[in-house]
Amino acid sequence: MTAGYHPLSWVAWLMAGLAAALLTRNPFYLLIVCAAAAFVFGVLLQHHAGHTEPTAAAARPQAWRPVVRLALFLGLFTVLFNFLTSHYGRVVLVRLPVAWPLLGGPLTLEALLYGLSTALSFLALLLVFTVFNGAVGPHDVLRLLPTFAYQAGVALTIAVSFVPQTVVAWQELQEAHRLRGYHRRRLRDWQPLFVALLANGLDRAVQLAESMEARGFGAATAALTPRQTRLWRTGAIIGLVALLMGLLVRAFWPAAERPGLLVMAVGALLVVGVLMRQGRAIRRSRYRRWLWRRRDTAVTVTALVVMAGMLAMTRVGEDLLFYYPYPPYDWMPPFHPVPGLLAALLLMPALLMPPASPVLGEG
Amino acid sequence: MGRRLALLLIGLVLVAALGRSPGRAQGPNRAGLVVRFGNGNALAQCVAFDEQRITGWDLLQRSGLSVIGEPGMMGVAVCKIGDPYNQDGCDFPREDCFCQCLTPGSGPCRYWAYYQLVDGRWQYSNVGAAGRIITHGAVDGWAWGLGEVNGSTVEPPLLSFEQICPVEQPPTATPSPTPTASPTPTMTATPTPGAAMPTPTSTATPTRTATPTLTPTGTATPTSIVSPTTAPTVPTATLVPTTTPTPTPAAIRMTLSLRPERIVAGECATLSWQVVGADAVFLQIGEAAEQPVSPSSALSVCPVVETLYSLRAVAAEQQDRRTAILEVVEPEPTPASTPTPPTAAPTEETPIPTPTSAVTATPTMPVVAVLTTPTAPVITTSATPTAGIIARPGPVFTPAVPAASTGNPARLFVGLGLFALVLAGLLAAGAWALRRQRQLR
Repeated sequence: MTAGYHPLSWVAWLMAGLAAALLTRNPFYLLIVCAAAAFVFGVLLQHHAGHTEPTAAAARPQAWRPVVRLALFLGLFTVLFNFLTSHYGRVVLVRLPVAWPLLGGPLTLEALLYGLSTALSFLALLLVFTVFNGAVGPHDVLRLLPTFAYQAGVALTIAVSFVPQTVVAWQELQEAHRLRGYHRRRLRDWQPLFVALLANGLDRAVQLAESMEARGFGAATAALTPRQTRLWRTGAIIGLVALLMGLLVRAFWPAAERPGLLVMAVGALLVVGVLMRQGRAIRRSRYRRWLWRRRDTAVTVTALVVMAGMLAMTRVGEDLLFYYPYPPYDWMPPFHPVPGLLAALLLMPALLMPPASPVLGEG
Repeated sequence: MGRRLALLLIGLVLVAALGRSPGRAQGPNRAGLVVRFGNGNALAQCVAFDEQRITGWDLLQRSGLSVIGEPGMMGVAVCKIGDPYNQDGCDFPREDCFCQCLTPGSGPCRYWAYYQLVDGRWQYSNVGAAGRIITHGAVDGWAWGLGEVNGSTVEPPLLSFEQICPVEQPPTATPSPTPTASPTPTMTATPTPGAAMPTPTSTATPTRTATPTLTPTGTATPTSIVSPTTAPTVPTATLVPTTTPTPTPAAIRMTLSLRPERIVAGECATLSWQVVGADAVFLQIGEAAEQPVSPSSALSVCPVVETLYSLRAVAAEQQDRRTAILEVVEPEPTPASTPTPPTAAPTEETPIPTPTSAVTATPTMPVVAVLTTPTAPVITTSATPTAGIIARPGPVFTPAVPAASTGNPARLFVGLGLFALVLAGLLAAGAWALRRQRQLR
């Protein structure tokens, strides 16, 4: 179940957030992206807190809280590490003896700013993904995948949701231990917690396998004739070989770059075509349908505007998103209102978020 | 946790305050730097520093050249080096630091190879510039060209430390009121027929004479220095190297020399200068725009027409100027093809190595071949044979710095104000959304 919006709206918002976080290293714009994503996350928490009874969807954003805290710590570490090890720049703040390994040399403002920019970029990416993961459940992501990628998608979803689920399980176990008055003083005292966590993980894996089996995962597809099977296999092999040939030509024969690209494109098209054709043989049904509302249109259009605007700014005229603090460039990040406002538009899902409602209302 | 963090921050601030950099050193230690560009031009620079030792990267940065590097944990990779007349390399981060090595289709691998002068020979460095320790007397070299992992096919011109950093002569303590007995520059003022004469600037007006009291030059090579002479008159209306008659401020001492003062078209001469007590030094070649240059450096010039060189030094509220003219005569006609530089297009008999060179397109534009130190030999011969007439003064190597700049406070404050405005709007809207969600709940 998605929070407030259609999953496709959230996907569009994710793409816009990624574009804003990846296309610039300017700390001003990244700060705005971080602030917007943090507000959306906050509203999402409020939204889930409005449910009358605890649900898996409500637990999702909570599970990402430790990850955000970890990201903040890693960000601080990145800033300090870059400041201490990158001895490059004009504005020298501290000068350590050159003989000191790795740390010796000038410590510069530019290195500090570059570390900050890297940390903000990392934090922005993580916040955007946190919001998306908090809003859209793994099964919704699976539903969005094309049929031929369904099985790979299931494996990927299980892998991706492993960390949050483990974090939730860890918190639950700690709480259970506290309720029983169990205190950990030595390293050995942690053993019961780890054993319980492992048992919990195995138990979850078995449950998952059973539920997948019950839903017909991996069941035989529609019957194929031997000729069809041969045709698809041959097509896939030819496509993959063409892809490989194109890559090799591009890497080792620079003069034939264009033919190499053409061969690659043909190979990729062939592989995708075969996979799509194969996907049609798998029949899937939907029990609950997603609804598309006005607010979905608003969020999606805004996200598309942000994405297109950010991409356009890197291509047209002066690159307004460019920032690199090291010489010979200016260490002071520039600020232009257009990319700033575009980044601020990422707040849109928070502004239009509906109140928490019964499950059916969520669509 | 919070208290520890605060203590750490206070400690960092204290260390920063105590260990603040003294800025550009003019100290007792010196090291040489030789840079060879892809077109064969080379530059030699003597860099002074206060510290006992610095890194090779510090030396490169303090040379005043424009450098783009890619910092990493193991040091800094040099992507691009440029001076007002030459530039080679890759515009990191807009493109890869080794853009001419990694991108398929860009041809052979070209990069900035790093050398150290060991026992009078260039040795390909097995450490990066940030890992190399420079002490007094060291010489580093950089060469742009073809290379591989173990070395490069191109080496910088071989120059010793003494050639790059000559022993400085103490400047004359008091200006001598008597005329200097230095020989009058031997440059004759016979304009070559047919050669386009550059428009002389007001500082080279031949009718002016130098005041005899303005003689302290502080150099040990009076024969080649364009110093004020006692010649009371300049009989002809042709251009004679002379100094401007403006009173020399006590703070600025400068010399400008030209060797030889007359060349045959196609040959090169060495223009060298030494300026003490100036904040900034600018060189104007012919009618080209002024370019900032190092206070003490030299330039090998190979103009095809008579060219005026004007050096301007600026101190707090004063400025001084020296000018020199290089006379260029036409070469004797030979049975082989005779180059006619000012007007003829490049022919097969007179190939010009750099296709972009616009020597023939701009007859009055002087061409720069090699940069070197005052005492260093002209490096043209040690460079590639085609390095004679190569490049003309191009635009100053300045990367495109978008939007705000620390050098433009108004723009900076406008940018900061706009950011504060956008952020405030975002915070207000976010707070409203949170409040609304809470109320709806």
